[in-house]
Amino acid sequence: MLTIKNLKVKTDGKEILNNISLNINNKEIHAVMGKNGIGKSTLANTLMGDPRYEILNGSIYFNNEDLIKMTVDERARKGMFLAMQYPNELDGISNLDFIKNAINSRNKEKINTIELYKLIENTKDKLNLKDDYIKRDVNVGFSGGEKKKNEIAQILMFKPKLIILDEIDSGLDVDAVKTVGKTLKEYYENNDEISFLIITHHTNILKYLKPTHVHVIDNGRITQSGDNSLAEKIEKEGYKS
Amino acid sequence: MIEISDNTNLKIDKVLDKEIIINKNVDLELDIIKYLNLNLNITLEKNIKSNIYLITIHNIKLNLTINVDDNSSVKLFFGLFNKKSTTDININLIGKNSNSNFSLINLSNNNISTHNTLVNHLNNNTNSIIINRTILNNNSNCLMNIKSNIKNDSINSNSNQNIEAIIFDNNSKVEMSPILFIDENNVFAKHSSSVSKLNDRDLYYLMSKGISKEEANRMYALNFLLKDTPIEKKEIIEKMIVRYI
Repeated sequence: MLTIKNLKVKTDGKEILNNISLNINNKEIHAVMGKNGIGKSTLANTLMGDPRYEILNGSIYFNNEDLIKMTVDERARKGMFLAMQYPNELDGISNLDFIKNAINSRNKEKINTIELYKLIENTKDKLNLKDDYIKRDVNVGFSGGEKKKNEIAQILMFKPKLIILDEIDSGLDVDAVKTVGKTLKEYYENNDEISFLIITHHTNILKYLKPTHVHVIDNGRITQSGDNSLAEKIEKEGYKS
Repeated sequence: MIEISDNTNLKIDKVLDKEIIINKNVDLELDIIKYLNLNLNITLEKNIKSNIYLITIHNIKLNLTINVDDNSSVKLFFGLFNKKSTTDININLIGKNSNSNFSLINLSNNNISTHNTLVNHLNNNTNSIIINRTILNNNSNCLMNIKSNIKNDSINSNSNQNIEAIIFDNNSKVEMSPILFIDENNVFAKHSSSVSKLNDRDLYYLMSKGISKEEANRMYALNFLLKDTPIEKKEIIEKMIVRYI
């Protein structure tokens, strides 16, 4: 589904990622772990096409299409989704308008109002979001946890194929991690074409989405790769081992 | 002189220098169908409530004076989607308890516009609200001035000015000045202005969810410009925004 080869990325004149290669197949769950500030979020945002990051070298293919040539919105419409670490607050844009436009951008036919409300209602109940969630401006006045749940709600409604979770469990209380984790697990189990790239520095969310592959990034490079036992080892011993 | 006593759609296709008297509770549409230089003087007689609308895609140079008599209220709404416009609006709240509510929205796409609004509070319990909102895109230039004069003895008067602009590109410019001249102690007055640029990070967020840059701009424009659009004009303004953004 996603093939990254020899990726080198810089921002603000500083090289952040160096020679990253990664292959994610359908139904695989990859966790990228590492200390704070070593380039994990850079990887997530580079894959999504964030203009702050400049690709110096390497290639990225998503379902055999050159991702680097695509605009950010094209990537999303092809089936990529980035659940952001710090979701933006969009003053003046209601969740309803935002969701409606994002869904319509993916489909030839516009979603009808009844269908849209049903979808929102089901999603809201699954994630225990407040009743007025849909009327409020996107993420404005939301708690950290509500913002993260709003990202997960979008996954359920936009139905992406490759989901990148950037520190999705940070800022969530124990119950919220459980709700988010169970919801994502159910989404994974109910979809045939689905992969995850989970950026994290601890293992809370990995209890629900058991990774098939775990990678450790340090100084912009992948220094270790393994299966879920690597994540368990890091949880016990830290990154020094 | 034209006397208006029914809801009227006033088609304007030639240069006009007119005196209009409104003596019933009516809606007046100023329907401008080509570039014109207009001088209009509208008077609301006593105890009248009237809505005046001007929505156009044609360039205009408009000089409009509105006189509002005792216990009368005028709601004035302009929706401008043209390339060049100059508006000079003078509202005289002559009578006791007279009110004016003026909203101007302007979608500037490679557009040059100047909007001057002057409100004179000339009697007790007079109220004015002036809201100017503009979106600038594609090398637009806009100047928006609002002045409110609250004259001596205009006790319990209330003036509220608000100018807001959003700039979508790197080359558009806007100047705005909301000014209050107050010559009476017992009044309530406030003014504000703000300019913001469409935030690159917000745009990235929307695009990362599949929304194109054009659609994101449209969403911001719709939300921003429809805020002060009267409900009866929302549909037409929404269509204009979608067409001209």
